[in-house]
Amino acid sequence: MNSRVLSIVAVVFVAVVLGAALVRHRAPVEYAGEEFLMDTLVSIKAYGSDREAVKKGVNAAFAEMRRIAALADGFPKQGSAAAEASDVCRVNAAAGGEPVRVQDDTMAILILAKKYYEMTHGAFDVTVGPVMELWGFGGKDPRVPEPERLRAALALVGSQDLVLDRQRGTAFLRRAGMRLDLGAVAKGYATERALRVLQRHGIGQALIDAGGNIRVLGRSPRGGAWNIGIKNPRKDGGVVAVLKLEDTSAVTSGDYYRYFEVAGKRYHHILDPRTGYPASGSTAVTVVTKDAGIADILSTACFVLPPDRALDLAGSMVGVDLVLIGSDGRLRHSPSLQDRIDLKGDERP
Amino acid sequence: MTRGDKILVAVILLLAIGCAAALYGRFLLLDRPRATRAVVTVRGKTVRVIELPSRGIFVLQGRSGPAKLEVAGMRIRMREAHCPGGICLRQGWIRRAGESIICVPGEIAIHIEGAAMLDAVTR
Repeated sequence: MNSRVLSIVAVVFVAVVLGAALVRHRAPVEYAGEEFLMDTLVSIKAYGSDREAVKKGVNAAFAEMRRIAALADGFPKQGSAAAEASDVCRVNAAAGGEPVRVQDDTMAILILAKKYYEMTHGAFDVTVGPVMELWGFGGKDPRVPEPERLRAALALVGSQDLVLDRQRGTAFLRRAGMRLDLGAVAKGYATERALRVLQRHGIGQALIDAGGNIRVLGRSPRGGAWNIGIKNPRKDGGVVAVLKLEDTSAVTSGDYYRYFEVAGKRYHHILDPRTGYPASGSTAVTVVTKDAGIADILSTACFVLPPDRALDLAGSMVGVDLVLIGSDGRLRHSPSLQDRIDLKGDERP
Repeated sequence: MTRGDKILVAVILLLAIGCAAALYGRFLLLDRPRATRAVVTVRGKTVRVIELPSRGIFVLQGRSGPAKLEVAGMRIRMREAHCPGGICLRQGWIRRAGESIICVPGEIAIHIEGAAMLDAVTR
């Protein structure tokens, strides 16, 4: 063999092997963290070429979530520093009295909440606080409220009496006794804010799991879509479907974790703000849309609405998809999800 | 180039491709968890890693008191916990990589990790 051919072969050999090593070198590194926040476990996995830079981004994202959590915390000890830092506490304490100046993020959450209150004709309402308190979900002793007390609490519900002044940056509950409860929106909003922080740190691939509220950024590090299972609402350790998602969120509201039973009847924590009783049309509703804050709101609203109306609402909105399991066990989803959903027929609820 | 040279060149090229594939594949394999396992954390720190399948009851000290974790083959569940609401007990058995059990009052998290996993489960 002459030396020219030998040189070419040697160059090709080295190029191929180095090429493979280079591909490896460019594969992203993962940094993952988790923290108990907003009454759940939040985990963040992020990917990039520089581990230290990714770690810095993840830590900053957690700091952002902690900041939002402090603003939205509805149950800190009265008179504590946490109560003083919580916009929700201060607005609740001043109900029926005077407007309270709130942080920009609190205002953004309340504007979003009021918009969807109007859009859903009250199926979503952050002033449901007095009724939630009466049921006692999350405490040691949840109970079915007496009808008279429920009626009195319901009279204090209604976002038409939540007055927001964008110019002055104030929020005001018109009637004494009204209470904000941001449980169905703050986690999603905080998740979306955390994602923006990751982006500002140059991170293009990440997954935030805030107690089952999922937000993915970019594509999976394996390449292609992220595989997000939807929990089977009536079976341990099962999923009813797998969503193939890129750069979007998936948030589920279900009746299967926070509930109690009286005389064989299940009372879960997702209340219809118009009746004061647990909503009964669905067992689980998953909303897929880009913004995790909107997904959080819509998963609750669509759980409360009758299934047909929930599907119609999602269908009327651009970029909003729904997977809904009715109380009859029937699974339905938005037609536009067809190419992104893998239904597990053997694991129907 | 003689016939022998051509064969030699072909062998060297195949060898190069083989080396590259092995190199890349090995790194890919190293990047993924090779077996299914349950990772248990308390207050953010990993306190136990259970290779699955396994069997037994494990006692954990959570923030709200002791908790018992039961492993049966590839499945794992919270069997006892001292927390209001008992939401972690209601999460029942999990068995699929990507699934988790979370006890907020106890600050306990159990994640199943493994190959071919779901990235997460919305619930």
